[in-house]
Amino acid sequence: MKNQKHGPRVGLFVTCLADLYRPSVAFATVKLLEDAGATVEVPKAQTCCGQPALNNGDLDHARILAKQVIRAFADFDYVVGPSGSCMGTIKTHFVELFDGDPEGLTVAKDLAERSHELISFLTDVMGISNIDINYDGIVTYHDSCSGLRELSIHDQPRKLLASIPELTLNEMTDSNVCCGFGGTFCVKYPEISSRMADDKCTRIEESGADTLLGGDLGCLLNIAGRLRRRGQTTRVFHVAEVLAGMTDGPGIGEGEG
Amino acid sequence: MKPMSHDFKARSEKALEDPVLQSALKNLGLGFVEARRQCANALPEFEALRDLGRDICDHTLANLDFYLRRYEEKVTEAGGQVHWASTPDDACRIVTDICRNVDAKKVIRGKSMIGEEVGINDALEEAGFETVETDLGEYILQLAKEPPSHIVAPAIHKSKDEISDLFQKHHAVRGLTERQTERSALVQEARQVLREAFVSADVGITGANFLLADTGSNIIVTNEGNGDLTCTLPKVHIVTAAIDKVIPSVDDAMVLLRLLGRSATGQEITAYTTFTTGPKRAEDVDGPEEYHVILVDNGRSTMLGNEFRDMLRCIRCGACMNHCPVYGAIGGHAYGWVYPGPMGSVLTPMMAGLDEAKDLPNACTLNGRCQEVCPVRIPLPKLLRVHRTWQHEFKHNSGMFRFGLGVWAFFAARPAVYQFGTRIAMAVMGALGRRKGVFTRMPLAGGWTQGRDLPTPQGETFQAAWRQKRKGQEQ
Amino acid sequence: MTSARDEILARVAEAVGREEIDSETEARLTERLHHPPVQLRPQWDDDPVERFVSKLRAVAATVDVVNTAADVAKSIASFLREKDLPSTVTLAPDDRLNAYPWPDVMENSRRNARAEDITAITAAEAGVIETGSLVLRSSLKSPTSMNFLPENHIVILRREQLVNNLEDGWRCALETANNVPRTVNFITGPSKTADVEQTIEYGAHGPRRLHVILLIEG
Repeated sequence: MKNQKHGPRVGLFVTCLADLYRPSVAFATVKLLEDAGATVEVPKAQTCCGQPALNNGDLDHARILAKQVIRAFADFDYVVGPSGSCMGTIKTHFVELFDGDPEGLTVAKDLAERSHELISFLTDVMGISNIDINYDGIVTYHDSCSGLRELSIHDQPRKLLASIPELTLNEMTDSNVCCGFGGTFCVKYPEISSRMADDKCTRIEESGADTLLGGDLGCLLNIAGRLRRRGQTTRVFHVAEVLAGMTDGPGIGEGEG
Repeated sequence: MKPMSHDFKARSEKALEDPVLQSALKNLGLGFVEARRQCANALPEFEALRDLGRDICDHTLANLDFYLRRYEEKVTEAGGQVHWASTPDDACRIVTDICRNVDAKKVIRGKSMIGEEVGINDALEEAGFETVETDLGEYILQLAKEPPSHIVAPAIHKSKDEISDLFQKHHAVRGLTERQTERSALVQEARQVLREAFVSADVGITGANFLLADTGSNIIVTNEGNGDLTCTLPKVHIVTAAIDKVIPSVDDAMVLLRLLGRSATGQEITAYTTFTTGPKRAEDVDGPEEYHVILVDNGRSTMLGNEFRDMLRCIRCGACMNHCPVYGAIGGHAYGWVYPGPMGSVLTPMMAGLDEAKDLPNACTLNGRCQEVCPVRIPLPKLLRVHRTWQHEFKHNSGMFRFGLGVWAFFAARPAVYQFGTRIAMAVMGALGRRKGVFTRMPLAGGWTQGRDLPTPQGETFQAAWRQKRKGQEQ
Repeated sequence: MTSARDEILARVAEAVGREEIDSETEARLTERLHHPPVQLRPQWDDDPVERFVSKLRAVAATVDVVNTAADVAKSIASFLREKDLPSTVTLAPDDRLNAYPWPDVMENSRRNARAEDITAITAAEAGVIETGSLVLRSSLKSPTSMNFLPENHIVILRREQLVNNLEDGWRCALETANNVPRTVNFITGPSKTADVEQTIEYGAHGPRRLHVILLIEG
């Protein structure tokens, strides 16, 4: 794949959080994909995978947004996004929305097959096993729930991080336990959510890491927010930013002033 | 038990601040979670058994009409009587009638979740029978007048000090006035007190982990041996069990038993796994003279026919709640009824009503750890989302929330407008927050900012930046 | 007026999608009941006796492996001595226990256990190697109360009685395929509880001690 003259055509699924909140994650994604030999395009007619609607039982709106995604990405060899939860929705949940609609089911299935979360795409499809970049720090990795349990993403980011010379990975206890984000859960049940985030911050502290990485911006915004409230100085980046060597600017929740 | 699930928010907030509960919940991770992990890893066949267990349950449920009839035949053949109860009231009426018919004064109970579900203790006490729980955890809760907070370890939320206080208060009448503080002494005192109940009871009521259609047996699984004494010593043995407890044969039951202990407490097998079939035989010197089984429906036949059939596979191991980070933060009482955690969040709306339990399916991040450990692979997150779909359809969620979701969805389906609007909004937020990097307060985001800071956006949207970059490249 | 039974069965029938069970399905399901599929059973490489003994010891039972009938009695005598227990024991009225020489100094009473009994001695139907479980059944000679009422339970088991899996243990408890005893107990260790602060204590309601004597003759 990697060394083909014409690399695969990848449509970037930006994800709404990267789009609105932290474009550097999407730029890092593009860089990693292009370095791996893919040609990347960004369809304009995309906003969100529809997870907020899907997870709150609003299947009609979820279906509308799913169809929008299906349309926008109809022509690509692959669809790749820097989020386990968004790509998990596209890969495993879109098909649930087209019960009784055989045409819809066909295109949903087709999209599901072509869709991948970024890190697992790099390792499992493009065969990347090391990254030529450096990051001097002690990092710990948070396994986002959807990525872990829907898409089996666990070893892949660790494999790539292991190839970075000055980077040390300290696993935290309970790296695979939910951070309390859960989409609308964190605003509907804020006390429980904060407690879960708090536990996560304690685990991060115990790990001795100075940097937290993960593959999902929702989780990272949630954890970073709680770290700052606790006065913890752990830096927070999306793993794509570290792998793409784009950590010069402020981390998540860091000011410029 | 009267559902208090409508009070979820207040109860969960209270639970977060309860130091005794929080300390007990911390031990769950160290205890049951680790024990299960070790036990599962030690058995190479574990994953294959989970698939088998799921298949056995699915087969049984798909043929429940056959298996219920066969079970009834076999119990009758063995000299027992099967009673059928559609509702909790029916079940309670049948139990109290049986007790009245045998002139019972004292009734002892082994642990039974269906008994809690239908409210047997209250019914018995109202009807004037002295009722004693014999499972130590349930006995403690009976003294404290509290409901269980976990389906396997019901008194997990009680500290040793609280237990010492309860025993001192309630055992004084039996001449046991000294306050015990050592664990072994507390257990010894309970043994002494409950031993008296075992030998003087007229009726023993147990639950069932499984009911066998091939022999008409019921299986109970305990570590204490209380269930065994309850079904052996009194003259009458009553089994209360839900209709989904029926399993075809002993061989099928052994598969599920292998999954149950490991998933619940990290034990290969409990101290006592007991099969009872009918009343005593002519040649037995002990055992009950009468054997009754009360099969309870209470909404299960409905679940059998709709999207929730998979939930009926549940073998009540408690693994889901042991691994649930939400349960781990708030404990069982917050859920307000008999069944807490993930399985409780699926069942309570079905049995107590979707409106009564409207928080339960929503107080979940859909992280999926429950499904990962469920021995019979119940798709719990999917079932919770089905509840949310029904709630949306029946407009049970808040008007404000539905409105917000609707507005967001409207714009998300119109990329050009969305991108125009978000570009402006993010630029403003970015400008305001650039220096500090976080907002400590944000209008309309009080839910977020009460417990954590809100990181600021970078200020540009990717879509806008990307288009600009491309335009620049083209020039 | 329909009974609750009829109502429930009608709802169940509707839920599984059939009003009646056709004869072919009835026959198939009946056959499955009479000849259940042999499900996956755990296997292992360990020596059977070693596995059985170590499983039992791991759950706080004590186990003595002996080679003669005389040693059985010796094991009992030293158990009672070590645990500082009275020599008064209740022996199950089980003819299998006649094979052992009981010392004169031990007062024998061949009857069912009573609540105040300190120690009971019974035989068993089988020992399950898979889990270290004893299989006991209710009968005239082996009343179930003996396994639960006394503080100490001593079980005498012969090597020939060891079987591999739980399913095998169940079959040993049946005299014939159609004769299911009132009670079959699989006992794996003494009675215990962790209901006080998640820490194990023994002797919750059943025996606080389980002592197993495994006789391997020849």
